[in-house]
Amino acid sequence: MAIEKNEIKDYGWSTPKTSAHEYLLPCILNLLNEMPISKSSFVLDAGCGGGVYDEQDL
Amino acid sequence: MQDAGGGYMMSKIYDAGYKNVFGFDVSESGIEIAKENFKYISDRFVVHNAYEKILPKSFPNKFDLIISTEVIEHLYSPKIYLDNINLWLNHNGFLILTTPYHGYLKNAVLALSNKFDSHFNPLWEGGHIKFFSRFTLNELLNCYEFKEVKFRGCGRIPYFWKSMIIVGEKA
Repeated sequence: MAIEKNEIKDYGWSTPKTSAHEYLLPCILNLLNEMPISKSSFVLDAGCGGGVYDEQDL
Repeated sequence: MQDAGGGYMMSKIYDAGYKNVFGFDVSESGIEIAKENFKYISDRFVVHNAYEKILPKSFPNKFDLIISTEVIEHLYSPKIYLDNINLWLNHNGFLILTTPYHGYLKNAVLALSNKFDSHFNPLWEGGHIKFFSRFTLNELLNCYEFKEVKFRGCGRIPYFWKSMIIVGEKA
C-alpha cells in the first residue's frame, strides 16, 4: 500500500548512534558557548528522537 | 524526523548546564529510546508532530533557543516547520539549524564520481527529500526575518562538509 503524503511512519529506531554524535554535537556545544544565551534559557530540541540508517550518505 | 538519535544531543545539552531543555519527536520509538536512555530527563521527551502548532502541555509556550538537527531535509513542508519554530521562539531568540551541506564543489564531485544514486538514494525509506545549500537555507530563513549570525560547516574538509549549521536570530 502506498504511503500517503505527510503520513506519519515510525521506522522503529533501535540504533540511536548517528553521525551527529561525531561531528555535529561538538560543533553545537561550541556554538552555545559563543552565543549570548544563558544556562537558564529555555531550549527546545525540535526533533530529538530519531535515528539514521547505516547507509546514510552525506 | 531524525536527530542526533534517541535524545542523545538533548541530554548532552542538559549535561552542559542548560537545564531548561525540552524535546519532541514524531517517532514514538525514538522517544521511547530517549526516555529509556536518559531517565533523569525522561519527562522532557514528548511525542509531537512538528507540523502541529500547539506544543505539548508540559512544555513552555516560548523558547529562547530552538535546535533542529538533521530534521528539515526529511520534511515535505519545511515552511510549516519554520512557521511553527517562528511561533515557538521568543523575539531575539536563536535558531540553530543543521542539515546536510550542498554546494557547487560538492555537487560537482558527487556528479563526476557517479555518487548520485547513493547520495540521493530514493530507495532509502525515511530518507532525505529536500537538499539545501547555504543559499536556499538562507532564502527559507529570510521568509521569517531570521538573520544569519553564524555559519559552520562540519564533517569532512571545507566545502565538502557533511552538514552545515546555521545560527539565525529572530528579528
